[in-house]
Amino acid sequence: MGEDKTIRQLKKEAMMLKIKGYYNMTKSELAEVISRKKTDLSKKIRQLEDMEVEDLRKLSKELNLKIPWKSSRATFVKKIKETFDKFKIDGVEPENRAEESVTPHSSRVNKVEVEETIEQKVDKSKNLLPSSYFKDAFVGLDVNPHWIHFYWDLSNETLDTLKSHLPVILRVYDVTYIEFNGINAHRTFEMEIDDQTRKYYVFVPQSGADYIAEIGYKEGSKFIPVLRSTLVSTPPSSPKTAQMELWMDLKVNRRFTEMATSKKVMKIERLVGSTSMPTSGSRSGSGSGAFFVLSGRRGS
Amino acid sequence: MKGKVILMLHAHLPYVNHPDHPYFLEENWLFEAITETYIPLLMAFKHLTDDGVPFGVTISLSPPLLEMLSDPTLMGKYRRHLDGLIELAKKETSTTKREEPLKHEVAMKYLEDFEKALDFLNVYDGNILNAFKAAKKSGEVQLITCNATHGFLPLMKVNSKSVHAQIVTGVKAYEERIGDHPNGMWLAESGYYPGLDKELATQKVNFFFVDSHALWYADVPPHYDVYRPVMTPSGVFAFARDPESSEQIWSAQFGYPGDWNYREFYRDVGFDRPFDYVRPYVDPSGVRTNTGIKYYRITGNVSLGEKELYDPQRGLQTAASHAKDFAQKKISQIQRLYGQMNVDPVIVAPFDAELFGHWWYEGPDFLEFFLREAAKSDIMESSTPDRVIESLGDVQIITPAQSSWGANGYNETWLNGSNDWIYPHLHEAERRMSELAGEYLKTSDPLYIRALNMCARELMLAESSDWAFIMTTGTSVEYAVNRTNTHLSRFLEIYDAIKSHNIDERSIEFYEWLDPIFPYIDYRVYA
Repeated sequence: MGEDKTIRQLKKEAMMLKIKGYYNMTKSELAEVISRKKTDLSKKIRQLEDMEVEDLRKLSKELNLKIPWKSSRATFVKKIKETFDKFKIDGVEPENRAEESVTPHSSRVNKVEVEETIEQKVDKSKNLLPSSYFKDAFVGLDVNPHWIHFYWDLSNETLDTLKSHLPVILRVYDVTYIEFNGINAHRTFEMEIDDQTRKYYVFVPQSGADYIAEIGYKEGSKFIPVLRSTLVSTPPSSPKTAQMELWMDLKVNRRFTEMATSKKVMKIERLVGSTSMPTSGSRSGSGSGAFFVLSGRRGS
Repeated sequence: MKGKVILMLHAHLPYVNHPDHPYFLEENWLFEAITETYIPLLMAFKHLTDDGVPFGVTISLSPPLLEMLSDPTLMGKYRRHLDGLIELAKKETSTTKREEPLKHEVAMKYLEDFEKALDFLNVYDGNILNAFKAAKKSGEVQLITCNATHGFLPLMKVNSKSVHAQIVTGVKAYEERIGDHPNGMWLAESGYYPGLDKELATQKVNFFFVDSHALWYADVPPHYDVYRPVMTPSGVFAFARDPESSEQIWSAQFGYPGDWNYREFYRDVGFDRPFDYVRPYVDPSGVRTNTGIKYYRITGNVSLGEKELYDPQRGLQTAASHAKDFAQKKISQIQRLYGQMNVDPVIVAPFDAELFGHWWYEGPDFLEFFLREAAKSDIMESSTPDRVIESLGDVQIITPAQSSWGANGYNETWLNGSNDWIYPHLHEAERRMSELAGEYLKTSDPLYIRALNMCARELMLAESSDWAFIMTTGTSVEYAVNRTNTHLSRFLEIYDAIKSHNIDERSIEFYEWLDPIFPYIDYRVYA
C-alpha cells in the first residue's frame, strides 16, 4: 500500500510510469497520480487485444517505448505487455490502488477533479465490455413462438476441444415433455457453424414447445456434444381446449370445477389484409412507447 | 350492474440523471413529461374530484420515475427548465403580437399552461409525488408500482434471482416513495411468463396486467375472454388488455390522436425561430431541440411546412367529441358483452401515460371529458382494479401464457440483431451479482455493503428494457448503447474490486453520486 512507501519510492514509481512533472509533487499528489495512472493502465491491459494499431502506436508513445512505426500489431501488443510486466516485476501492480494513502478530500473542487478522471475512464471504457468471459455458457432465449436465439461463450478448454475437431456442429432438440438424455428428442435439427460464431437465431417449427441445443463435433457419423444449452420454451401461439374449468368462489375461498362451455364471448377485431401478399407481415405493437421516438435527438 | 372500464396509465421513463452535467439533453424526457403529461393529468383528475364527479383511473409509477421525481438535484433542474419555458412563452406572447392573431392566442395559452403548471407544483411544495399521493387519497386514482428498473422479465428468467430482485425492489421503491404497500404491479412491457405470478404472490402484490393473448392462449381458455379478471394458481389476479379500446386510441391510422384538428407535435419553435432567439432554451451545445411551444395543427397528410395554425378551441372541441364517441363505443361494446355474459364485463385499456399530453396534446382533456361521460352513464363506469377485485364473486383460475405488449406480442422488440449483444453481458453480470450476494450475505463491513449495493444499482440500471427498446427503434441509439456499456463496465469494475479486496471508497462514493437510484437498495435480494 502507498502509505508504506517513502516519497523516494513513489518518485521512482512515477518516473517509471512516465508521469510528467513528478519531481515537483508532494507525497499525496504522487500517490494520487500514480494510482490514477495505474487504474488507467490496468484498463488498457484488458483493452490491449482489441485495440487498433493506431491506438497501440499512441500508447507505446505514451509509454516512451521505442517501437518501429511500421511494426505489426502483434509486436506492439507484445512490447507493451512486456512493459506492463516490467512494472509488475518492479513491484508496481497495475491493479493495486494507492488511494487509501491520500488524505481524504472534502472540498468540492477536489471532488470535481477526481470525477473528471473517472469520467474519462468511463468514456474510454465505452467499448470495454469483454468479448468473452472465458467460461462456458450456453443460453437459449425465445424470440417469439417460432424463433429462438442462442448465444454461447467458451472456456479455453472447450474452445480447444472444438478447434481440434472442426467443423463445429450446432444441434437443436425438441424435448417437449421429455426428460432429455441426449437421444430421446422428438425431433433433432443440426447444422455446421463457424467456430468464431457466438450467437445464432434458429427457426423452430413448434410453438409452446421445449428446446435444448448442443454444440459439439462429429466423430465419423457420431455426434459428440461438448456444451449443452439451458432449456428454452417457445411461447404458445394458439388457444388450448379444456373440458373442465377451475374456479374460485372468493366469498368462501373455495375452489370448484365446472364444465367448460363451447360458447365463446364474441369480440370483433379489425381485419388486416391487402389485395396482394405483403413482403413482410408487419403488425404494429399494441402499446409500447412512442415517447422516445418523439423526443430523441433529431437528425443524429 | 354496470360494465367497468379500467383505464390504466403506465407512467415510466428510464432513469436519466446526470448530476455531473448542468444540462443533459435526455433529461428533457422527464421535464417534458412533467409539464405536458403528469401535471395536466393530475390537474384533470383534480377538476373531477372538485366537481364531485365519481371516476376511476389507475396509474403505475415506475420506480425510475419515482426516484427521479424524488431527486432534489434533478427537480432543481426541472424548476429552472420550467422557469426558462415561462420566459420563452412570455417572449412568444410579445413576438406573436406582430404575427397572426391565432398564433398570439396560442402563445397566451402556453404561457397560461406553464404558469398553471408552476402554481400546481408550488401547491405541492415543488414535489410532484405529493400531488400523486393527494390524488390517490380519494381512491379514485389508484397508484401501483412496476418492477424495479423496468427490466424486461421474460428475457431475465434464466436468472430467477434477478427477477426476484426486480420485483422486491419495485415494491420497496413504491413503499419508500409513496409510503404504503402497492396492491398492483405493472410488469415492464406487460412481459409475463408462467411462474412470475408466484414471485408477485410472495411479495403480496395482488394483481398485474397482461396482454390479450396471455388469456387467449392460456392453459385453459378464458370463460369470458379478456372481459373478466382471472386468478393465477398462486392467487394473484390478472387483468387482460381489451384490443378494441387500445386500437381506438392508439392506432396511428384509425386512432383519435391523428385527427387533423389536433396540435402537430413536430413543428416546434425550437426549430422554427431564428437560432439566436431560441438559443437560451435549447441544448447549450448549439443543437436545436423541441421546446414544447408548437403553433400548428396536424392539418392532414402534408409536409411540415404546409401545416396550418392550431386553433385551441377547435382542438378542445375535437377532444370533447372524441371522448363522447369513445364513451358511446364503450357503452355499445358493454351492451354487446352483456348479451353474452351473465356478469359485468370489465374492459381494460392500458396506455403509456406519456401519450396523453406529451404527444397527444389534447389527451388529458380527452380523458377528463371521457370520465365525465362515463360518470353520467347507467351502463358503464370507470373503475380501478381494487374496486373490481372487491366486487368479484367467482373468478376463473388460469395460468396466462407468456406474452408482452410489444410488436407481435412476444420478445422480438427486446431481442433482435440490434440489441442481442447486451444479453451475454447482462446475464453474466446477473450471475456474478448473485454470486457476490451469496458470498457476502453476512458481511458487516460498511464499505463492502456500499460496494455491493452499488453493484446492484449498476446492474439494475443496465437491465432497463428502455435501452434495448431504443436500440430497436433507432432513435437516440448512441445514448442507449452508452448507458448499457457504462453501467455494465461500472458493475464489472466494482465486482473486480470486491473480489480482489481492493475497494476504492472514493470511486464508490463517486458512483453513488452519479447513479443515486434506490438509496435503500439491499444487495441481499440477489442471494
